[in-house]
Amino acid sequence: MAMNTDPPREDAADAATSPPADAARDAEVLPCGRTLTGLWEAGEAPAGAADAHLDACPHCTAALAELRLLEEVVGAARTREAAERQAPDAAALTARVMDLVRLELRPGRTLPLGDGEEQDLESWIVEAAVARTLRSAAETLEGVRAGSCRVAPADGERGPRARGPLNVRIEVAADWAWPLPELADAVRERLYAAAREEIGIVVGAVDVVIVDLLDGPPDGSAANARPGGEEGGSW
Amino acid sequence: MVKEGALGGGRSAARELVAAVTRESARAAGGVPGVAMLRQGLGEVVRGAASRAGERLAASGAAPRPAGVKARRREDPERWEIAVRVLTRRGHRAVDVARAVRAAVETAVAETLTEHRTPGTDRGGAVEVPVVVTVTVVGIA
Repeated sequence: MAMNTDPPREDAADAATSPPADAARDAEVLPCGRTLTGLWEAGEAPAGAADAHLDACPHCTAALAELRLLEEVVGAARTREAAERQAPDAAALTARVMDLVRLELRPGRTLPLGDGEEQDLESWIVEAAVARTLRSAAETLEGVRAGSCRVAPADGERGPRARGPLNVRIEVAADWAWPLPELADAVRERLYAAAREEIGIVVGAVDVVIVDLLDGPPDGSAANARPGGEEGGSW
Repeated sequence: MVKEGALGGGRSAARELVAAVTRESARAAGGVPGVAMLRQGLGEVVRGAASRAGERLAASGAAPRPAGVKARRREDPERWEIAVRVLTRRGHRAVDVARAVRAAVETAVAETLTEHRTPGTDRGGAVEVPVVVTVTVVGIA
């Protein structure tokens, strides 16, 4: 059987959308005379339908095996694509790992440990550890969330081994019902206590920066947790 | 001071002493209540320095360097410098843990140096090489 050459490009589009007038025009033909299309259909046929030629012909068997392999590869590729679409979870995990790596790489400066006038000569703590502790202390207040916390020597000493009292700057977001001056005082009190009792550093000034107000519980239960229990923005 | 005149023997003895000081310092620090763990620097982890150093030291017969402790013998002025990085436990004041670690390490180092002192290399007998222990709290667990 003669094989036809490939049709010109313009015709190929038509051939794809409409049934070919001549099956041989767009069907590859195996040496045994069977077309690839016919082979595929035979292969797809229910198992009960016997195809004597298919069973006996080595060309058809080999070609069918390749078609099945192709089908597998395409299927696997589709599965991979679906999995990658779930990538956001992997990205979140990666982000968390990188945060930890960054923390490790940038623990901040080392700050002097020691309370009172006798600061230890050779005891130090990294800023990140202090910041974390102070943030947790602020968040022991009802309706308060702590953000960035920076700790640095009060005298502005830039060296890595500076001594003296430390100044703290902490950003917080709080339940909107918190009276702001009281909020700042409450945060300060918690931070001084944590610095003294959990770490053992000398803290000078504490800057509390209120960066956001949050919607608290509507029943005002948050208000009962703080001293005075005032409600409404008194600021 | 261990002279290089003894060639490989002198150098390996010096290395062994550093390894012993490091090992005993780590043991002492790790035993202090309030120490969660000794903390390697990330740089060491990334560079695989622990395993490479361990291989080198193991080849020389000494034990691998424990994480979190760096010991060095310096000259001019002669002294030992021990740097310890620790993670402390919540519930223990960081400064108290740091002080306890320093005390424990100072004791351990003094004992180790005494044990390793070989007759003939003693300089004037009564003079001890100063030991400076720096403790850095790298996190509170």
